[in-house]
Amino acid sequence: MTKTKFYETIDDILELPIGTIKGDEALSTLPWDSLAVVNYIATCNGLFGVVLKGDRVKETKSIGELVALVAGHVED
Amino acid sequence: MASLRIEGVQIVGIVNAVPDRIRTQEDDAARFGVEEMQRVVKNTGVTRRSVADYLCTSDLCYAAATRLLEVTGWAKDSIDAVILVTQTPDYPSPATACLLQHRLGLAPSVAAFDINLGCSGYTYGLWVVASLLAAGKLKRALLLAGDVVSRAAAPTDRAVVPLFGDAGSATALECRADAPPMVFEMGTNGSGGIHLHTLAGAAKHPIREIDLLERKRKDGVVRSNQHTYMNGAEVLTFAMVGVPPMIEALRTAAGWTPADIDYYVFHQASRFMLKNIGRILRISPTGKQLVIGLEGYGNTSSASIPLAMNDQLTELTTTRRKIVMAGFGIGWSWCAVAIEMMPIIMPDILRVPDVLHPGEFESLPDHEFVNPSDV
Repeated sequence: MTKTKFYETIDDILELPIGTIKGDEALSTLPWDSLAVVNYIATCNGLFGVVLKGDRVKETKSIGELVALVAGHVED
Repeated sequence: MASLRIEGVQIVGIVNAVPDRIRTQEDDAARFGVEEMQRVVKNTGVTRRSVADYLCTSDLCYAAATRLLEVTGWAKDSIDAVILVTQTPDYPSPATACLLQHRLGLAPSVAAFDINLGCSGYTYGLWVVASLLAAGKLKRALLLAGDVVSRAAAPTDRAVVPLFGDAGSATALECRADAPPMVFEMGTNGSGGIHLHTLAGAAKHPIREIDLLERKRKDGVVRSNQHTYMNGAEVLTFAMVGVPPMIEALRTAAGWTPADIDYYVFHQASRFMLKNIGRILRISPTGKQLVIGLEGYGNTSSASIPLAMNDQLTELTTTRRKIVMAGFGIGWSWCAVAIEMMPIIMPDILRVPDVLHPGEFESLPDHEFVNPSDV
């Protein structure tokens, strides 16, 4: 999946207008909460077949760190 | 992971009881906000819950068991065992099952004990009771599974409060030579206990004054040490990793193909969790094979599987069905069973008035203060 498409997926998880996420955002500036965390884990499982550790996802601080968790599945 | 096959034991009837006190999405919106509750409900699938402000696990299970004895026509002196699965007993001691033996008027010859399990508890309880009966000495048993988990929720915990409800169930099992086999698959990983637990109230962490204080914690939740702590992200990870292999192993052990199974009745953790497990197992999202029956009750811990069957599968009273039940959660603990169920007795879900049923222990003269002014 391309990064642009993956950012749109994160837009969808956060219920933001498509195109909002550019990739350099801090999660503290976004509606990132426990519901978003579980949606992110489930979405990544559906897209890539990976099961992310819950605590790893909770510890992330930025969109870049979130994308890094699925490195290898998201292309530049 | 252990796989076990039990012959000659049958589920005869199931009764469920819930408090008549209802909390709706709108009630929760007063605390958490309308838009936030819309997001929560989209995830959990729970629009209203039956909750107990006063009823205890024993009260709900007593109501369910009493009705079960009526509808099965089983004489009280024909019951050989009463086993209660709960994480919310009435008292730290004695076992609530002993109190229920007395309250139900069962014979002193009855075997009675509690099992401390939650989300995996109903299926674990079925395994324990079926094993006892299959051993050959006991003929009839009541499996009681119930919890009042809403009473352990921190009032402002948005991840817990809108999700959990309270319920008690009673299941009648007996030895029958022609009963189809039950096949169980189970396991445990205690390293997960840290992600879902209650900190204070037993020997490792007795309740002190500081444990009663409701204070904001680093995860953003205001709670006391008596309230339930839940790391929802880790619960989801555990369920996604642990449940599908258990079901696949169970299907193999039972010799069932996915198409053989009429219904999957999983612990009703949340609609989101069930849909994701169903997706991984390739259960059709539009079909009725995956039973979701928590909308009107919430996640009711050990009672959620029988309650979902009662809510969604009334055909079980007339029709033979191949069912896969799976409990999973707190512990981490998991147990699944494949049962070809013969038609069972399953009356409508009971609504029990949420009033206080005073316990007998509080009025014990020995508990009175020698000098009332010492208070």
